[in-house]
Amino acid sequence: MDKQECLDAISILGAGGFLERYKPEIRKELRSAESKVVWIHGAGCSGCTMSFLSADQELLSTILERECIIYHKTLLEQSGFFVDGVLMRDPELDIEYYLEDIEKTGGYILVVEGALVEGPANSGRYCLIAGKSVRERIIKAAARAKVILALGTCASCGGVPGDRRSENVVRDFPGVIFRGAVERRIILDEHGIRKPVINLPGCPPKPEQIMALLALLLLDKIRFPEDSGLLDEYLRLKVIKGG
Amino acid sequence: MEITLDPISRVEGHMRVLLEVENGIVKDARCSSTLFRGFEKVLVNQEPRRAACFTTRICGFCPTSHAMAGAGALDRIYGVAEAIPSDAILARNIIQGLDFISNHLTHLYLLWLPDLVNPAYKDIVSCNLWEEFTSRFTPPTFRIHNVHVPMGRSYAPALHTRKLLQEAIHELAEKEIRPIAGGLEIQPASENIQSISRKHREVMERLSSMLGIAWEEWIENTYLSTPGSALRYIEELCSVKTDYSKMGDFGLFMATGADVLGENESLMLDKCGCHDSGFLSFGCFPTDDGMVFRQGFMSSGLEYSSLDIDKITEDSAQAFYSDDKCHPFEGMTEPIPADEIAYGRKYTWVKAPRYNGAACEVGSLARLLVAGEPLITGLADAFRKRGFPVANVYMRIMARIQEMLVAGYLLEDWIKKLNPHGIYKTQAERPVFTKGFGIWEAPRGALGHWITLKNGVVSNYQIITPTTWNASQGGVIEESLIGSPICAMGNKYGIDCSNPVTALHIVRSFDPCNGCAVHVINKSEANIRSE
Repeated sequence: MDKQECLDAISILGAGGFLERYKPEIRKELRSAESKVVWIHGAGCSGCTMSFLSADQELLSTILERECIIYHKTLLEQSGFFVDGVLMRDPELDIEYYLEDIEKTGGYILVVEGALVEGPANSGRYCLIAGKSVRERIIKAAARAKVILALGTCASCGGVPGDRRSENVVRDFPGVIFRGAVERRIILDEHGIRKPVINLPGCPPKPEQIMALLALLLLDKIRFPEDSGLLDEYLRLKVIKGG
Repeated sequence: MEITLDPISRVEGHMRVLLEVENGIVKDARCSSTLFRGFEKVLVNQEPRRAACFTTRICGFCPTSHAMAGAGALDRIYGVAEAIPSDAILARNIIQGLDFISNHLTHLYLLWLPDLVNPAYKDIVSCNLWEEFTSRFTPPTFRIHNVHVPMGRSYAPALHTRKLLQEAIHELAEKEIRPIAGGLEIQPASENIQSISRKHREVMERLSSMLGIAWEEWIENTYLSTPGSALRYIEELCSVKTDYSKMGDFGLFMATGADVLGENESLMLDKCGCHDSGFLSFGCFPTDDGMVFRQGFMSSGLEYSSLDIDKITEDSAQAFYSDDKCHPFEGMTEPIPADEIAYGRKYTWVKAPRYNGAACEVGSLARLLVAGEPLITGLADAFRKRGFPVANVYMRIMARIQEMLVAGYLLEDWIKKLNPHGIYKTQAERPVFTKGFGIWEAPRGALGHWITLKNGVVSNYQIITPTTWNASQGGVIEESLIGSPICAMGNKYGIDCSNPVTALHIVRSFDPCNGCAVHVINKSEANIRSE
């Protein structure tokens, strides 16, 4: 199952058909896959997570059992613990310390679910996690990622909180790369981070689209920068455009 | 000593809890939702159906509930609230019943039960019990003492059951559940109904095996019984010292969760997460004979009074909004400036709804207590007679388990009544009123949508969600934490401030949903309580 075979299958059969047809191969390869996923929530509703959990259950079980997802706040046992303001440093209990550990190793697939949060007045304080803005958290995690998947419309371009018809200050809730559909404002670039980003818009994206794209990334079927040509002008994979 | 839990994992959204702790007992607690999305601002100036549709994006866990509450509000605005065909009411009940089971399963298996594999329990419960907890409930990617613990064997089946339920719900909708004035979006065909029926049967089989008892037998002895008999039934079940490995997941929790019940060792979950506030339910499952679960308020002393929606008020003094006094269902709240968003006097994005001036608990426990469901009422009486509070962690989990089974039982009959030739929609052409509200019981508790229109577009869209009640300042989560020990089994085996497992049990037992809880009210010109 090489890259071209996968991409051809997806473009002909669709994401769901591809997973159905290649399920045994994908499961087999997942068992020896080394890539890991770090999944961080910004301004979102966990709907993309819920969509992902509705994907093919055998593939999902394999991914969960094989510990392909090493960080995900809704699924993990640990929480963040601070005693008198000091972070407890036990990775088995403390999700914050655990994340620091992961970031040191680097090389993971960073999934961003939900919009980045810039407001109010560019402070990022509309979303604080462990006292820091989620923007800071995502930028920090992005610095050591090998590729970033902006999952869902919120992460792709601001989505619901960044809806242009709303009375919200739209700039308060941008996506990872796009603010709204057209304005490209590369927050990561501003912080000197140059990492490949794939957008998978959709509210939520279909379970099979999320699963197929994650499988391609986990199995290293697509790599960057060499596969940049597989993306369209909105940084969507041409064969899995979401929506 | 100050313990900050931030972020709290295994809850929806971003949540932080600050605990002031002395000798292992919580002296003060502050519960914060830490994400603001300005949701109601997204909704103003929208066409009402579009706005109601947007509300399903408040939360990815319970979009269905928002769709249904939004539909209720639209029904009133379009003047068809009294004309919803009985087939459509039946179908909405089915959607709600399936949604209860789906959400409660998600809460139990993904969010709450993994608490039981906390390393704190490793050396204080029997080896057999620890073995059962870890082999069943371990979440993905977990290590203890640097040894990988495989994912629990109940985890994947629970996810699969959730998927079946979601698929069944989607048989009654187009691509996704949307709020539709006047009824449903589609006419379910025979094959849709057969598919729902098939999936329901499979789900019930799975629930029976999670329970360890055939669901029919369980319902006969609890829901269809009296509180006294239901209590005796469960006491007998728990007093049998059984091989843990032979119990179902729910049976295992039931037998080992409470100190007061049964002969087995206990996690003492009935002695934590207690409060003295009352319980509120908007009621659910309307039928020709009234609501199956009635609406109302139940005091902590278990005295029932009927619901008076005008007694609901909301306060934002301690939330990150400007200090203008927030009148019930009106007034204005704007986020405070960036440099003032810090955890001080104001510490959360959730405002504080009150019923008759007091905080209340909402959710399964509240719903079943208010409804007088026999098992939960029997258990509540037992706790009260022995001098313990009715509200505790054990009761909250038991109420979810019971509600899944009762909903499943009710669904059986309802699905049979689904008629492929029925009438599922009343024409709803255009808005005839400028105000409308929809109240609904979401899996996590009482949910209300209040819409006000001006010139045909939304001028105010007000939502009060379950977690707003539970997680507000001075709300029941804070109240339950204060006075509670922080470590396992009432600190019996010592105090470890780096692992306040009981505090986490308490917070998660309410199934808080922070995405739902945070929204800002805009300026409104009129009180929208009455139409």
